[in-house]
Amino acid sequence: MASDANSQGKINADGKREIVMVGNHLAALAAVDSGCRFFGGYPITPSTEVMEAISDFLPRVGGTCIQMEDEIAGIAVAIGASMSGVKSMTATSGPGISLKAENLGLAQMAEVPLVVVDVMRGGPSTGLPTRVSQGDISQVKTPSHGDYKSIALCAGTLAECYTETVRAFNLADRFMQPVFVLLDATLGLMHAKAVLPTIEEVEAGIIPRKTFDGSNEDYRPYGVEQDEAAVLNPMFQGYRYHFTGLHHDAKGFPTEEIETCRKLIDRLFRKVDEHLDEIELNEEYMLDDAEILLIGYGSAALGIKEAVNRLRAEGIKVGMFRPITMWPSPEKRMHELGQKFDKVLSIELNMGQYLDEIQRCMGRLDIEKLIKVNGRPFSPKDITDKVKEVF
Amino acid sequence: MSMSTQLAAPENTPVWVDSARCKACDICVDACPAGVLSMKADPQSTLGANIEIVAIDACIGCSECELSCPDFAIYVATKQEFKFAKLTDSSKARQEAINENGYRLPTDYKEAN
Repeated sequence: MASDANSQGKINADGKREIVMVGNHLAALAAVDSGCRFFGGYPITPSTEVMEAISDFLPRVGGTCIQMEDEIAGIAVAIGASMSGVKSMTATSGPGISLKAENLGLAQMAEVPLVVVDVMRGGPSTGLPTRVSQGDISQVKTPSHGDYKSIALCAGTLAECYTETVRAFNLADRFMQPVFVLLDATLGLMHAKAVLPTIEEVEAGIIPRKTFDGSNEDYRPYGVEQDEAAVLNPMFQGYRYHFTGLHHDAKGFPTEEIETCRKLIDRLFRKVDEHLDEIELNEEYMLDDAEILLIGYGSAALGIKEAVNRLRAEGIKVGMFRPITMWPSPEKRMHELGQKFDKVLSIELNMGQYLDEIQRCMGRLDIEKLIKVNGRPFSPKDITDKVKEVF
Repeated sequence: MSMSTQLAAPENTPVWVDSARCKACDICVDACPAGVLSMKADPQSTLGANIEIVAIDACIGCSECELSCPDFAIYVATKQEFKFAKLTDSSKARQEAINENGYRLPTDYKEAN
């Protein structure tokens, strides 16, 4: 669709697309294939290739890519484009998420669908720009102040840089809020073959944003059921409503009315919480007969899988659980696994940000952890050594 | 996926490779600061080349190649398993020569001493 012969890839014997690309380019390709027609952003290592690719793809399909003066303006224009009905995206790294935090809160409150790709690098602050980390896991749960429910998807393979971006666009339009796609410096810059769904398959999975087509007098964009997302018609098409970050009523106008305020925040949670089955996605690898459970996500899971293979070759029965939807977390499944497995090891490239969530979901504190915060990935040997040391 | 996984270091070996997993992406050769690794022509391989260890004694044990390999094809011994060399000027010169020659050690390369 977007794309020239190269980004179309080659159709293999199973009818899937095979393509050789870096993860960041795959995210950009996925956006355009999903119908994204606006990108606003400001380049930052290691996410720059997302913008590089989409600045090439978008003009070919009548879309717009604009480099703004900073990360803040980058998300602000993307919010504006989304309000006018265009599927929009921005991409950045952790420091950019920090800058975008205020506008992310606005998009949560006013219910503007948006895809935000975060290619994680070492932090805090400017940190380790060219090195890998998974340090933004907590950040994307609540980048802005106030109460809301983030949706964050974490790609763990090159193909998922594509498929999770596609899913993010669908979830954003379904739940009318920003959706994060987490990549990291390893995956975003990894150049290899990815097996992808065809463009026809992607297009068949797109469910358009809900719109209201009654009369303007009856239009209540925020006056929806308590477990549903707002129905925002694109601006400039004859429907009038107010757009604000303040607590607002069914028409979008600011209010301090007690019950309206309570119901608004309650709905921001329930629209996600009551539809978890539409959001949750995990991978389970060799868990059936496993005695030791390894939990990891993102690029770290590549090393974990290899470690599982090596340990199994030695007769040590390990398996891996990998959340792909990080937020909301796979609470129920992790709780079940916590009861099934005595020996649990959490593996992540931060000081244990998701370990907190694993402990909460499993309701126990005796979970071993393997962490790394020096900007380097795990080698499978780090993991096999740790398993042998603690279990 | 190949399961030819070697867990313990072969005796007295700083670095070893599973060439069945190598797709010749050149990343390890670029990452090695000591000119230990190079690509060699291999018509059977996807990209026409395969990994080769050309100066095993120069390995400093930094593990950059192992950590940068997308296919887990390289293994580096630990500092307990092997006493690694120091980074020398001739190692650096060889690394530069390999990288400048498209990640392959020039056939007529002469060690700088």
